[in-house]
Amino acid sequence: MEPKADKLEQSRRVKRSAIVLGLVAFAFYLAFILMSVLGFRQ
Amino acid sequence: MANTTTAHTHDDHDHKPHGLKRWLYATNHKDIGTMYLVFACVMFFLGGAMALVIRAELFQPGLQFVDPSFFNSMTTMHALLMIFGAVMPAWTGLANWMVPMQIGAPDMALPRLNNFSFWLLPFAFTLLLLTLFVPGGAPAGGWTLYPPLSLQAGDSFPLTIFAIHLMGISSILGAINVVVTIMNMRAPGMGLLNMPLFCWTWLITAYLLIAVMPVLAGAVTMLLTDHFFGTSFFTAAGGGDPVMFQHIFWFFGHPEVYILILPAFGVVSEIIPTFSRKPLFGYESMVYASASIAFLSFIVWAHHMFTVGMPLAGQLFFMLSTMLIAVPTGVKVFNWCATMWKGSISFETPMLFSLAFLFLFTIGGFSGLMLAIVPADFQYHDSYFVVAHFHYVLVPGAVFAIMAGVYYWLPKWSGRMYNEKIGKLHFWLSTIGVNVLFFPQHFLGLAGMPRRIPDYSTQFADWNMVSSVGAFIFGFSQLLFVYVIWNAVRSGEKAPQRPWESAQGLDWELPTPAPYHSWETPPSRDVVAQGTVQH
Repeated sequence: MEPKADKLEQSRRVKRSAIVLGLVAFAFYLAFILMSVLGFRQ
Repeated sequence: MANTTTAHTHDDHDHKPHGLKRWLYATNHKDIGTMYLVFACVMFFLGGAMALVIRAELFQPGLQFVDPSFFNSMTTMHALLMIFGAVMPAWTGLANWMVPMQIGAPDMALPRLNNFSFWLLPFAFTLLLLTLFVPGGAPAGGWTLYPPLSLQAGDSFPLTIFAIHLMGISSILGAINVVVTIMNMRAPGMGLLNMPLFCWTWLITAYLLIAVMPVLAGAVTMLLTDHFFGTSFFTAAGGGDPVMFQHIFWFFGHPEVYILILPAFGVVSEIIPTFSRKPLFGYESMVYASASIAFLSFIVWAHHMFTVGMPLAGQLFFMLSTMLIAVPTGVKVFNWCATMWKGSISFETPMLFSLAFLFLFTIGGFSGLMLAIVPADFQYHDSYFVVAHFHYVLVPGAVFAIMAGVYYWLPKWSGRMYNEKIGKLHFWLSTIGVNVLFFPQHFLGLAGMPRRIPDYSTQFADWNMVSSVGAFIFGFSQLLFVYVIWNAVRSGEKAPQRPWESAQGLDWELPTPAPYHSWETPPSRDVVAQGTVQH
């Protein structure tokens, strides 16, 4: 069985990487809309 | 191996909830995987029924059964259902079942998010299917949703856009779960380059999904604001540019093709070594080839839109970058052939489907190369040649690989063997049907028959009739697939712990059927070394 501290650390890593990936996805969403807005203004 | 077996057969490791709650509140990766696979199967038959409406209408020239507008709705809905409802959820279902078992993890890293990702789908597709009953009918402008045509849709428009947003959110959350699971929950001793190819191809697929699904969401959000809030992103009258939509859409759309096919490469890379009784040839080159294909998929999008007009430099860039994809794909095909070379091959149903994949996907790849050539594409664009090309890639490509995977892992999932004779009958009817269905469409396209039309000139009559006969053979033979699975689960022979004697991987180290909770105790380094790719 893994020690409890390892489990906690793993759960922290899981949360951290999930949030980072979610932010990356959201950034792609906003970036393409922003790019279109700027293109539209030009 | 004995240790792992006993560790996972304790009764207290196998308790599971019962009734509706088991599925509604499911957090177990196997339950969620099963729900994804069942959902994909339902969508496959619904999308297939729409395909049969299309082929029945095209059986002979003239209008037979449906009016042109409904015909266009059928082509649009068929594509949306098959891509987002059947193939993608089927891969997510396989990932849910296999990724934790193959990397030695007890479950997906984010089980509740997993439940949410799945349950978004029934709502999304209910919304999409409801469009069949609203004034103006279902969307009919093609799955690509090109403006200005898609902006002229009736009441179906907001429902379709909302449905696509829900599908996108579901895919992104599912992909985040796969990445996080693989990066954080591998058993001790399992490096990235020890992982089975299925996990590798899914990891790459998941990164693709995270990058491109938001782009589709952005594109359809802008369509929505153009339709309802007076913006002019894609409306020429307001200073917008409809071609910009095509660029954004295909920046999503081309990687999407690889999202559909990369996990197929993984499944085939598991099955061919097992039934050739040899290790996979060139494991590392397979990984790098998959990553190269994924990278190249981001820089080839405009080959879908050569005919909109673009500078010569652009045409050349997109033509040559598209052709470059043949290099890593060729590496893969070479490696699969080299794996079989001098192997002791047997031809069980999963292997038959994998071999058909190898030959028929390659045909789809070759016609893709033809379409990459700019002046040739000017001839082929929007013709049945394109329809033949992408169906060769997606049906005997992605769909056959899904079926191969289901036949391969079904004994491990259910503890029962399927009926090999009916499995082989299913394979031969599917393979004959799919070729009779799609091969003549190459001839129709080269002769000039445009896609997405309910009626055609009499010169195209013969091959359309042949194609429709193939469609009905292929379509109805899929009922056998459901029968084989049903029959195996209900009354199949008991499967041994390792139904395929050469199968390698941590999934095969588990008892059969795989216990409800597997790898609660991570496998030891010895078990990992025994069950994974070693260098």
